[in-house]
Amino acid sequence: MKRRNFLKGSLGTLYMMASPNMAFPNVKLSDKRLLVVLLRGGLDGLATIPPLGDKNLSKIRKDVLVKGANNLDGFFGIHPNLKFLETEYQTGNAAFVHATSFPYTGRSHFDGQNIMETGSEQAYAVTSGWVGRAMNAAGFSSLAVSLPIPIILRGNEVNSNYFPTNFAKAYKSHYADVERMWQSDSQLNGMLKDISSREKRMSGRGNTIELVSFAAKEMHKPNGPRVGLLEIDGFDTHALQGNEQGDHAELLEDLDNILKSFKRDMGPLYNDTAIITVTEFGRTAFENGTQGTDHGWASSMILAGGLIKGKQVVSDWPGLSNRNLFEGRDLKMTIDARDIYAEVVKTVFDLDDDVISEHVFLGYKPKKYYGLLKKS
Amino acid sequence: MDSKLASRKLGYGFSSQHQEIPLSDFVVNAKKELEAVPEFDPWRLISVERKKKRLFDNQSKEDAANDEKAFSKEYKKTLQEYLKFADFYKSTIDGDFSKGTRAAISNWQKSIDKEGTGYLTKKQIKLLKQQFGSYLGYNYPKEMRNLATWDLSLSDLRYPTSIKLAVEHLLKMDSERERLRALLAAGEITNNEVQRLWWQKYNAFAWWRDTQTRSIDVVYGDTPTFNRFWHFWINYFPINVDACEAELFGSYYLTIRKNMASNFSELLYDAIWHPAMQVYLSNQDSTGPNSQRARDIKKNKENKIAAINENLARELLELFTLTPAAGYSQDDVNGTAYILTGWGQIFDDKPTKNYFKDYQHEPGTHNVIGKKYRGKPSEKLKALCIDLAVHPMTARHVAYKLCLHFIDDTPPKEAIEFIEEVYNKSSGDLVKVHQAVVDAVIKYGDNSTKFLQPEIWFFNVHKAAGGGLPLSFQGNTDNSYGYQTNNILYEMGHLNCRTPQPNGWSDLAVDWLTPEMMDRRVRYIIQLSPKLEYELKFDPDEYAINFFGKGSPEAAEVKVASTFTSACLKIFCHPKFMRT
Repeated sequence: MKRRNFLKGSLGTLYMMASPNMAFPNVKLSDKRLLVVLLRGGLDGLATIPPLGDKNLSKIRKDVLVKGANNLDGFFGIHPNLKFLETEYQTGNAAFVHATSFPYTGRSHFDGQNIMETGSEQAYAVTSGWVGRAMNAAGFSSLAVSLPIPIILRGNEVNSNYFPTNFAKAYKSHYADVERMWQSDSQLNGMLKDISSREKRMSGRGNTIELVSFAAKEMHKPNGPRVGLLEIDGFDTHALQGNEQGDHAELLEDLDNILKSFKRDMGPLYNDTAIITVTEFGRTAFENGTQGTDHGWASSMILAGGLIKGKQVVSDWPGLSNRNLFEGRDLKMTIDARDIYAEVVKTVFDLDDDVISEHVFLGYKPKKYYGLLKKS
Repeated sequence: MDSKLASRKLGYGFSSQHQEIPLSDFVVNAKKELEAVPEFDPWRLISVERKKKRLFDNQSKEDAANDEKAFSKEYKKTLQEYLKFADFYKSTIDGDFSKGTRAAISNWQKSIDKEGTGYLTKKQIKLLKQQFGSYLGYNYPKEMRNLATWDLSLSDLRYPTSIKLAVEHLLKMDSERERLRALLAAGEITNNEVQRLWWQKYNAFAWWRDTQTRSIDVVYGDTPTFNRFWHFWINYFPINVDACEAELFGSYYLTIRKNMASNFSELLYDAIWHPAMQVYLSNQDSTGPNSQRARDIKKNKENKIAAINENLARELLELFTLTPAAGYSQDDVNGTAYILTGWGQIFDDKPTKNYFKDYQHEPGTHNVIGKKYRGKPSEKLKALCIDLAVHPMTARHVAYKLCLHFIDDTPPKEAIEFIEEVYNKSSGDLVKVHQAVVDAVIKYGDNSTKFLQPEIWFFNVHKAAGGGLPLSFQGNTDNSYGYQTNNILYEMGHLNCRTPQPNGWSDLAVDWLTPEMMDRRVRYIIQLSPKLEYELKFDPDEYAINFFGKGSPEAAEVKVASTFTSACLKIFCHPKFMRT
């Protein structure tokens, strides 16, 4: 059997949310920034932040076992391709949370992604996203930078998006014709307002690093976006996942490089920035029959940026022995991801606990405060 | 509802030549169209497009004869090979251009509507080479040899139609790729040379052909309703070119099409075991823990865990049949995965029927939702597909998805139940189910609207304009810019073969209505309009009257448009055109 490359690169798509909404002139605007990185497919937390201190790890994994992971805190290690994040960790600008997830155990991508984006406990129960609702509660309007606008950003009244194109430019008179025609259509009305007044356009096909640079530049503007959203596909590593090399390792390297250039382009603003990852679930603790891993439950989360109280791996480690695994196969969730996201939202958006509970997580009250953000 | 609207909801709209017919006639015709699988032969339709685009070729016979004097014997042999492959030359390859060769050249020239001079012009040699050169040595089906009758440089539109040929071609491409990589690694050739050699031999991106061939069939063919259902099913069982070998696309889509007048269970079974699906959801190496393969792994101390991969099994239950609402368990997923072990063995030296091999199949009895599957290993999957197909939750899911695509983003309950009932009563007879969709669209479609997905909108535009499809093939990677179907659909966010996830492209307007994607539609019409004006002589006023109605304010708006482009925008970007 030839080794075949099933996953080609990580064409990320980037979304940004922007500018104070004029409808909320009295809202206090924090000058903090947030970059949300959606890792679609289900991140293998055990390959990203391997629990080196758990003896069972090397018993249940062979081909996908990551060798050469660097030690973080005596128990957890970090994938050797996450070089930038390791440095950030050591300098106190990055932290990791392990055995965390949304409380969803159904192992379906689509239900899982819907839950991670809507922040609801039931899939398809609401149509808005938790980041969108947080923006709304904080009085921000949004600008997404990609072709589709993902559910996680929905819930704002104004959504716009941005992505490079190779199509030739349209003239203002053309837009004027079309905009007039669209006035009577409730969904199309106003759709081209931002586009038609945009001064310049990137051309090309959306190189992720360029998009992140663009986002960083926009986030520097006084009324620019406060939240960027980057989406990376390909974490659904059922076959030939690889270990310190291979598909998954390459995805992590891409992610690492993307975050590195984001930091560079943010400059001093990086000190007021938080970066978080979101994924629908982790993967099976056991390696499957195709040198990969199947859908599981808990995973690891990455937090970085100047706002993060770094150099810590927050975890209530459930263990990898058969009886400690959920249904004998998946890493158990011991930290509800919503608890962590609530902390981030509280700091970045300056929202009260009640507001977060009611609007962002739809009635869920965070159980514990983990101290992952620096006191401002 | 009139037949115009029905043709848009259940097809791809209409052109200026459209003649209004009573709705009842439309329904009768549409249902008839769905009774049997029409032949998919877009290739024959290319001649229609060809008439709109003449090959500019002014080299005289004398000039061509003069050129030929400089040809080496080897080169002449190559040309004879092309002609032989094209079925025009029957004699020996001797490099001698005597009577037989002249006749062959002349006949081929006539087949592309050119004067049969017996002497090949520069352009004709290029065409001959494009159409036959890169495929020499491959035993392709007959219809692919008839490319000589196409007067377009559309070598990229060919694809192997049978599964067997597709797999063989894929394996040949694999070994060629390996060979070139080895040469590169050994420093014998440069990277540029790799690209050149690869391109020379396989100057085609199979996945482009999907949208291109379907666009031709939609614009010029006469089974738009059937094709619209085809579009539905290839999105119901989606595959992605990033994860699945591109060569498999053609035969996969044709396999789906072939089953569209059968029972859902047959469609399901053929989609699941097809190598494209097997590779896409990485099932082919899934190993039964008690299989012979597992024992060999142990015996040979291979660094590999003998276990299943549940990817395809989970999607089979979740997306293609029951849905999570059916409440199946992890054990059911495992049972399904065991049944699926052994399928997709396309890399095996001696391929078996349907690419199933016992070797890694999990022996014994497997349980899925309370039923036991035992007996002949290769027959368990078919039995499972039959059971899943008649499950009421599958009926509900199929009915819901059809309503979502054809009727409304929040389809009326009655419409779903109506189709569901037909499905249940007929045990998943797709002809009856499709015909029920036609009835449901007519009955419930009046009060509903669908916002057209980019591909459907794009096909509608070209159908309306009577052609002008961007079929040119430029560059040598699929990232090249240009007015090509695949690039345009990529820009509009809906290149069919790049479905982001195994649940296919969204049917919801909210997933498509973003400023960027709407901007792309405006830009495409601006880009297209000169072609419509000068090449197709498209008349916006005439079409606007046909589409919006005589004396309508929309038609009046088109009439007073200041430019041809503006008139086109006022038709194709009008909310009424973008929705059905």
